[in-house]
Amino acid sequence: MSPNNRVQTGTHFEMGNWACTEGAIAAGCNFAAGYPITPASEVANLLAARLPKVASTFLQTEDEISAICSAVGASWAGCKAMTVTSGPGISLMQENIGFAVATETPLVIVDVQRFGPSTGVPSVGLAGDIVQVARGSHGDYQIIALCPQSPQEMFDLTIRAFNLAEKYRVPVFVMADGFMGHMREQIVIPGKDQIQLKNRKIAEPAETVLDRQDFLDVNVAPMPVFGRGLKAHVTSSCHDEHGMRNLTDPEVMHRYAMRPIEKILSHRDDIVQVQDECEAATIALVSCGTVSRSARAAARMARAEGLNAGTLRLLTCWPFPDKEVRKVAERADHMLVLENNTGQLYPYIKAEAAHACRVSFLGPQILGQIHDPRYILDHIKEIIK
Amino acid sequence: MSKITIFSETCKGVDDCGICAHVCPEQLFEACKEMNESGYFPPEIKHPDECTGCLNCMICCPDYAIVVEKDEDRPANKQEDHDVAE
Amino acid sequence: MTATAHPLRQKYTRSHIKRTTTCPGCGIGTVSQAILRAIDELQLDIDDFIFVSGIGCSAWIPSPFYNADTLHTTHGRPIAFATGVKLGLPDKHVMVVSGDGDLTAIGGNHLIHAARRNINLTVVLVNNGIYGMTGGQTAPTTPRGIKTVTSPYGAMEHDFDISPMIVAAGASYVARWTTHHPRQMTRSIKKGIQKKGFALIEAVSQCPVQYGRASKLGGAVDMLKHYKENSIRINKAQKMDAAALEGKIIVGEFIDREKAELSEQWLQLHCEVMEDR
Repeated sequence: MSPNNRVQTGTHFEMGNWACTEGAIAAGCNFAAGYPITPASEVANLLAARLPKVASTFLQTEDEISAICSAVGASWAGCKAMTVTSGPGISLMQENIGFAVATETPLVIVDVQRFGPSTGVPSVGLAGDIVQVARGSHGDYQIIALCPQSPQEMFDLTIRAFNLAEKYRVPVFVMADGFMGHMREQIVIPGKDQIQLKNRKIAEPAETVLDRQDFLDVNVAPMPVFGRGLKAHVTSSCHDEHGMRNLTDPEVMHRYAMRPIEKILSHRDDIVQVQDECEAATIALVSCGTVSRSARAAARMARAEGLNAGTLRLLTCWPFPDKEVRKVAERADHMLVLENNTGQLYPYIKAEAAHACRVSFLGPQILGQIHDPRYILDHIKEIIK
Repeated sequence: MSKITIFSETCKGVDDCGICAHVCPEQLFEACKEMNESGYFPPEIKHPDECTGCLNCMICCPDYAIVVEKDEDRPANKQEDHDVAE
Repeated sequence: MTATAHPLRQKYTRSHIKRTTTCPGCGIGTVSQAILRAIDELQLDIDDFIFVSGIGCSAWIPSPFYNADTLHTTHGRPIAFATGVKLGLPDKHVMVVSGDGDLTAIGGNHLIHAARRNINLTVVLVNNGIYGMTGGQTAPTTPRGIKTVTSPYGAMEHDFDISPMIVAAGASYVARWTTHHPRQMTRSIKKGIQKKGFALIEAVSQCPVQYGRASKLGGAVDMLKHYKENSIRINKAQKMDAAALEGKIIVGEFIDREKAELSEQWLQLHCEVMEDR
């Protein structure tokens, strides 16, 4: 295993944060900026050691705002760029997450979530940022958020995140948490040729930007990356297809906001991934992330007792897997939403499912500690009564 | 002599701006009697032959509205190395 | 043959941008010219530049006007974005053009750290002593006593002396000039561009509509006269006492030194690590 190689093929026993780092490097990340924050710091530490070995750059910034801004700048310089933080850092980054969305900047943001609100408990996991990553910046917009449930998936989904970022010119979040980040499990890294990578389309030279469409294409405009004489005009002000600011034409305002949304939603079938193990289930346990491990165990225990329970695991929480939730709701009698928070995805799931079945929410007995499968099982039994 | 071109339509006027008039060591700029389309009174130069080719106006105009094409036969002007209106 | 346009405008600006967006008499346009003249005199290709600007009147110098890669960022953050651009494209010239509010208030931390890192950026900080675009609020550079829309009883805070601050933060090159000194400004911008390190050119510029009115200094011409009468060269100022310097604008080069630059160190590290294979 040469550290100068991007793909560390083999079987490893490491923590999730290690897997995430290796996933980023295997994906071709060549710029990362970060600020220390528990429980994400290991990713930054590992990137600082590994990135130079693959001729790439790590910048420890003065704060999280600088981290996301410099990552966006590097992306516009042509880099596959990322930043990594936890909930408080995401809060600081919100304005510039909006900037990345509005300028259609490919970017990966790893969020190793922790217990909130506020400073809370740095080393305890909580799915505290599920809504924040989708709605934390002002205005209406769509981002992509992927939900790993294990160190292995922190590797796999970080690669997927980079690919989706490049394909859709959008910030993509990897929603890990403190438990997963610090937990050690087996991670299998395949051979280099088994890893598919995606690269952004680059714009062609033109006389002026008016002769080229650099933004607002629902099928993703080629990106006018800097330093190639493309004379790109990039602004987070309301702009038209050429990137030129327009604050007077209501139709341009509408397109500026709507097209990036349509860009994601019209491709949602390509983006959304779920693991549907609810075939004939009358009770569907819906979850994502670390909680899915409890949900799976509970469903197995329930079935062993003759109860018809199944799991729907969301590997993508944004764009919201509406179709997939609805499909399961139309088959089941009851949908039980399990989250390690007070119900962040729950309202969205309920809105999609309530017409077809009963929907309820079960948080953990103790917030911050993922559900004991037996606690879920007891609750299932209550529901069936 | 130097050839001075003033782009009146981009000018913001002698009264409202007036930087060219201020930096010209020969005080050659005067307000026109007619407004431009934006409602400003751009300058005009009554005696262009008195222009020394110092380029102060061209360098200072915030609206890129003045071009001075120097007469190459004229000796170099000391003014060019100094601050404007020293 | 009559010139059809200002040569700098013709060569370096987007032809479809018909109007400048500044108030009559605003010094920002003079600084804009000083920058393009520097690039022109150095005979550099504007396509080898990336211009990054924040929010405020001065940030409109490169964007949308300059016909080059331009990145118009969120308020206070151009230096942070520019750092990423430079590290991603170390062979290109990355220039930040923004105002005193953008770069020393909300953006102060990024400015200080970029100087400390000594990353090879050229920052033209247009200092007009006020928040012009939003209607004349107090800035960290508004002198004490001036009445603005947010200090209607007179500003009580003291103002920043930006150039010495950024020298102390570690910059390789710092210079300050006013719009009364466009040629010197161009010379310093050229030096900043060529400097391998963090370069700051503080461009004191008149804002007649907001600052001129608030300070009662008057219009553009009055303010330019004020700059001329109150500018003192730094080598002269160093021999004067504080009382004599009250209300004066110290101009000139504050520092010009050599020290290890960040993007170059990164390239070196990449080579060294690869050699260890």
